[in-house]
Amino acid sequence: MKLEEEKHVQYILSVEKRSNDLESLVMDHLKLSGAYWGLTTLHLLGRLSSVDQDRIIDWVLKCQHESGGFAGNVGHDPHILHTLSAVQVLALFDRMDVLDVDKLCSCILLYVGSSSDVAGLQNEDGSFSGDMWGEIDTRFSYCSICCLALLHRLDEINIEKAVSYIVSCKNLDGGFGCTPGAESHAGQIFCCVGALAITGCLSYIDKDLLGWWLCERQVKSGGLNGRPEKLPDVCYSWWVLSSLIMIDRVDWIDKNKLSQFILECQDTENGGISDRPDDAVDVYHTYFGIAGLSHLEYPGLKAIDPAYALPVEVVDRIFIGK
Amino acid sequence: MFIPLKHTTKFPYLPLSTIIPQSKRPTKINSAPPSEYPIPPPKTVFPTNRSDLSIDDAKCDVFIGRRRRLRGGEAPDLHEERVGRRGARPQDDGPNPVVQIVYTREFRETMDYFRAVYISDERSPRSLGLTAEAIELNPANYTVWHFRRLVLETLNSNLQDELKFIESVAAKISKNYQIWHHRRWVAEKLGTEATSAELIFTKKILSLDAKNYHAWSHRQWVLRALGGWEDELDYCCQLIEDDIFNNSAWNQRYFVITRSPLLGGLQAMRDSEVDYTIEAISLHPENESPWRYLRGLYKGDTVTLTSDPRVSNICNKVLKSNRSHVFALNMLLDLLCYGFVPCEELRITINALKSSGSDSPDLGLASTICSILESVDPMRSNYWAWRRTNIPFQVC
Repeated sequence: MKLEEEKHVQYILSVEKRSNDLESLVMDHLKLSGAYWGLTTLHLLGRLSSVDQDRIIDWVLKCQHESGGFAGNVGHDPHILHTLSAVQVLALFDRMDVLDVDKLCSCILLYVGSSSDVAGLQNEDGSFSGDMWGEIDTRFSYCSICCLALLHRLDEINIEKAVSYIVSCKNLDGGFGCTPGAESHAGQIFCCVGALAITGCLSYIDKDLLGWWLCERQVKSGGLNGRPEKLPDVCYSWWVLSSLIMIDRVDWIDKNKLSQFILECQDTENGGISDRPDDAVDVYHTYFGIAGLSHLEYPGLKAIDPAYALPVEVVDRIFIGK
Repeated sequence: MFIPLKHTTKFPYLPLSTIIPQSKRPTKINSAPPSEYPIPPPKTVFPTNRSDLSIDDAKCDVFIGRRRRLRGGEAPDLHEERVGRRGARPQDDGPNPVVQIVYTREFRETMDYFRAVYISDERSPRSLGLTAEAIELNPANYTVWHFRRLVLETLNSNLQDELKFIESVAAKISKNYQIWHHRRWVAEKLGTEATSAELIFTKKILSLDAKNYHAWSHRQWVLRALGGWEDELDYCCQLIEDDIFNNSAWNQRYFVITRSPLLGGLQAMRDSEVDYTIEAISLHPENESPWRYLRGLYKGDTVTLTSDPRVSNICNKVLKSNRSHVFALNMLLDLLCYGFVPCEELRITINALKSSGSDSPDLGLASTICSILESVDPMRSNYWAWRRTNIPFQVC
């Protein structure tokens, strides 16, 4: 099988234009993250120019809340998940200049009010909350750290505490969960490994042990699951592969079989990729399938950075300059 | 970046049939809305000035009343609907998706009314009702949950009722971050008064899906914050008995033996836990979870792991039983790398597993194990090849 690039482009463009059906209403509150998935996919396919950049940037900026954080859409509450998506979308377009960085960072750094050595969304134990309501999860550690790093403001949080909290979520199998003691899960592992990669702390990971757990996620069909005895799903092509690349153990899985699995999940008629062969497609899995194939060096796809979840050329632009 | 992990619902993309419960689907389809249908507020509902927006109170009340009638009483029992349907195709409404249009209209109207009270910051019982309607239509909309908490606080609402409300929502979709975060907010406010209710609630959800990541996280939080450890190890036993492959239950077991204030910690529990784990392994040696659990019991103490005869014995037993032996061989490989000296019987058993075509009798035992694993587990052959190149020099 081969990658139906043009059909996937058309599928994403059609989702982007859709605004009136029920699915788009249901998605309303996380449209900004949906935009990130779709636009990153287009970038990896070399087709980002197919969208109206100015219109999208205008809309993204309208999602910013007075606190500085971004909401999933205009008129919703801000959350760190969508704040990172906003930064990533602007990074894709090379338009970070439109951001009021101080204002944005204040939502992470000053949100709750500061104490002696931690501030904002960061808690005393080094963990991060997602918003003013205080839900704690290693996903939010990753989002905060990735977001601040992209804005060159990582030095303004307590990195030592942030790292020690993530390390406290490490389990006997070398993986990580959402909080200390929670079961290892490939998605949470991506967040923790990504945060440790960005902060230069990968040495805290037991790479061989985690690498073995991650490569055990590959099942007979070639797909990857997220926990033992669960079904494979295209989204883990991203979470597991990125983690394996960051800890330099990606050769431990059978890459050809995984490529085949992802390609079998394509809707070859109308474009888009699903979780498993013959299921309904969506933007989320289309992104993770194509990002996974990019990790597998599928010909014609641009490279994606496993930690920042942005095309390598975009990350280079941010950290090395044009 | 939004990170809806696989254990969550892929909510926005779930088939619509799982978002709109069967009970709410109109049975009769009219192309025209019912005459008493109120006219929703204008679509542009994000004025910068809150006073720009006024709500037609009468219409809003009629709307809520109508929605209550539509719902037909209280939410269904927890067991009425299966949680987290997988792999279903989106509902096929055919060429003329009238049903979908009715959902869409209902959805839009509810959200329009919600936005109106949200923007005017009206913290009234009516607003509470609207958040309930909006949550029922889309439990993943975090803004609605946020506003609901503000209203609950202002009205000083009965939080026991709120627990019931959450239960009714979770009956339809239990894999959703917002529901669990809200549940925790309520439980935190109730304090230890909520302990047993929370343990029962999570048990109920786990009885439908024993690997529900949210339920496990919530349960762990309850134990740590509110207590209730007394029966937790028994609960783990029960779940492992139900499904010995349930990695979540094994993880919870480790959580309990390492963190329960009642059990004395890992050192105190190790001996009996090793026996328990070895029994589980001998039942299903192809089960990844107890092998990892066994390693966890010796947490970093490779000397004790290597010298405990029970560990090498179970490996030997599995190898001789002619069942899946990947994990047993891997454990032996680890033991050898840590300095374990195998008895002659074990050597013979391992060498007997070599494929008949193999003509490299001079390989060390650890290398032999890697060769066997490369051939029986070809998907990870690179891993096993890497293991072979990393066998310590003194291990042969």
